[in-house]
Amino acid sequence: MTDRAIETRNLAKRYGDTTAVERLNLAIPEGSVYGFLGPNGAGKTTTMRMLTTLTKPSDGTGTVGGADITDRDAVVSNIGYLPEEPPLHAELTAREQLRYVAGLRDLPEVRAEERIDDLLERFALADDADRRISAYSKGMKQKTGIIQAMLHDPDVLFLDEPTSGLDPRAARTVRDTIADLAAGDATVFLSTHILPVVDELADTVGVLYDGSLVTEGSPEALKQRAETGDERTLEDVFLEVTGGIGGEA
Amino acid sequence: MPGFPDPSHAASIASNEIRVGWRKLRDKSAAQLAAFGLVAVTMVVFTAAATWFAHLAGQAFVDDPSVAGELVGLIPAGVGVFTLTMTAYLTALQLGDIDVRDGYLTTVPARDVVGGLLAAGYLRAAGFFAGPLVVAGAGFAVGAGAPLASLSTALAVLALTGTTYLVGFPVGAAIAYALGQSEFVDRYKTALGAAAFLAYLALLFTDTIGVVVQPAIEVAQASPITWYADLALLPVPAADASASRAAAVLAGSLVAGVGAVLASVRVSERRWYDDAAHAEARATDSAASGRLDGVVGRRTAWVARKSWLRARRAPIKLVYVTYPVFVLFAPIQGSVEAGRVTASLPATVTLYAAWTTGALFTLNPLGDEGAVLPVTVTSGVSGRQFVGGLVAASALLGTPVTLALAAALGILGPLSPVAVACLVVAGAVLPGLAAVVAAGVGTAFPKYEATSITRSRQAVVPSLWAFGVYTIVFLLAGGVATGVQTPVVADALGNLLGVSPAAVHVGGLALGLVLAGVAAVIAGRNAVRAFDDYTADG
Repeated sequence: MTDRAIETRNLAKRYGDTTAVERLNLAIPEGSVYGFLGPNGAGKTTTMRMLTTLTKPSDGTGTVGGADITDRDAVVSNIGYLPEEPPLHAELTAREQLRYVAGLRDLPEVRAEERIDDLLERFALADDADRRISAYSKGMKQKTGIIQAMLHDPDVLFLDEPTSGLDPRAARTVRDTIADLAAGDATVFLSTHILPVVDELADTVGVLYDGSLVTEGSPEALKQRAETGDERTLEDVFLEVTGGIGGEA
Repeated sequence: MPGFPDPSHAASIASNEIRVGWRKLRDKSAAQLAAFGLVAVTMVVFTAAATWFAHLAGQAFVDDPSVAGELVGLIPAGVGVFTLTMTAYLTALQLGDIDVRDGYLTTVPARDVVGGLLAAGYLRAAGFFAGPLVVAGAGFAVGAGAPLASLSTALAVLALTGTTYLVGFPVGAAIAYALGQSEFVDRYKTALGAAAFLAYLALLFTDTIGVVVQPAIEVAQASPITWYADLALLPVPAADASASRAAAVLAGSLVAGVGAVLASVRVSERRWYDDAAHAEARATDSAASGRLDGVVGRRTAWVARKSWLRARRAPIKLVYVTYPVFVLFAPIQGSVEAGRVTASLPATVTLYAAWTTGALFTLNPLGDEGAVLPVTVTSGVSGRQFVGGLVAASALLGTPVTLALAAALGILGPLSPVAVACLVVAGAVLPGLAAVVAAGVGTAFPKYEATSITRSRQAVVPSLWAFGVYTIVFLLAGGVATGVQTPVVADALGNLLGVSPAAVHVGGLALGLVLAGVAAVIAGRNAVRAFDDYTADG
């Protein structure tokens, strides 16, 4: 494994005449949290899909956990992925779903059971773990999806709006969990619109606008106005680099 | 083997697919479960009957093997063609893809997902006839006095259906992939789907489906597929079965099966990872206020226009109105064979067209609003305006069509002038009444949950109860008004009642319209009240 958990060179995706992502260059070190921001339609999900091998790039190269993103088998075994809609079977219970995925990940049974119990407890889902997912609230589904994504201790975790639909307590649990993961060796690629989450957790923030990376740096550096040295919020930065309040939302 | 699915992952995915499918089935409504139960009972009865006939066939075969004639080759050829076609169709439509696909593809290699789909799909594509064939094979073996043949026929059935299933899967996946890559198909998928359905109905109604199937069966009969009969009949002393052909077909099954699994993986990977074609969206059919406002009122007109626009954009949600089209099977086929409009066709078509009018937009008024329902009921639109809009949407489309069909077929058919006139009146009045009756039944038996039409398409369709109750009520009323316009019915009733056929035509029409009118008044009031009194907790 290289010391870069995620690396891309001129990564691009085009659909006919439409460019979704253009010459994206990322170099994300291991054990860090990368906050990936951008307005709706900026290309964030397309980027995540390319990095998780679900979409073929039109151009450029990339590696995740040291594996080339064209080598699906190698990438898939290293990653956990939570898309915007948690990939769960509504007809199963959370425990059945997690056991099933642990089986597909070839986790040893005893270790998987312990890990599932531990995570269900941590996310306050233990009491509802044997109810059908179809009866879950949006937040409970989201929590089950997060547990599923991190069940096998992946090297790189891709989270698309992980705190969406969560109440403040559950959102706190997710933020703490991400911080714990990053304190170890795991790398978290975090796409969200909730800027305080990024501000609190991210080591580096990248803002994608119209398919291109328009700014990148630590939250502190971005908030510091270069010309005057004034402090500003991450929201100010976001609005400025993405065309202002009337730009796009 | 490189490129081959991991057996343990594939088994796990297959068993999960079956578990999820079973739970989806169990969660269906009591009426749907009853329908499945009926199918299951029918299958058991069919299997028992087939086994009994196979037993008799086994006895006859031992006495004189020549009685089997061409059947020995025809059965494996027919089963093979049917399995392959059925599998390709179901794979393109549903079996070739999986729920929460992104979750799977970021958990295991795609080939393992394909392996799971292949294992789970066999039961759904071929299980319902492979099982009865195995049991019938045992019946044949007992009849032929060769118990070992029950094993050899089971092996032959499983090898034949398994191989043709495995070959059919990549064919279906390739068709789905090719369709997904075509911008033309994406743009005109609604029209193409309707054309394909009409072509299928035309083949069925004109009894020419054999023209398409026969050549495929003949090709299969001339191929080694017939050697599966050698495998099945190997232990039957009276049969002239060749051991070498039996061994060759088993080896061939293995080779073809392995090749088909590798092809399935390859094609599915292309289908899942390649970018699909997307035609540019064109918004040339948007709704705008128009003349209808002045006729039925602005709010009512908007309800009607909304229904038309939604139907144009997502016509698949109206697919259920084609379900009873099979009642037209006999009269249309009769007319095609006779080369003229037969006596029963005008009344049947008029009745079906009027029924369809009612079912179009009014059979699930509340559920069809979906997530918009709370906004609609609090928008200030009254129940009368809302129901009126839906009835207008149905009647304004259906009445001219029903009227035209009734008049054209009535004139072309062997009906008396009085019967034609009565049928035309029925065609003009029944569609509107049908729409009101449907609105009342639909609000009494609403359905709010979406139903899967294909794996990727869901739509809120009327409940089975609404469908059934509306059909019965309408048939009792509309059926009288149209049924008595058929000469044989009018003559019989005329003789029974001692009146002229013309009196039966007019009397039956009047009775039917009164019944439909009374039903419409009651149903209309209920529909309006259901909308006005709607609360989310029912």
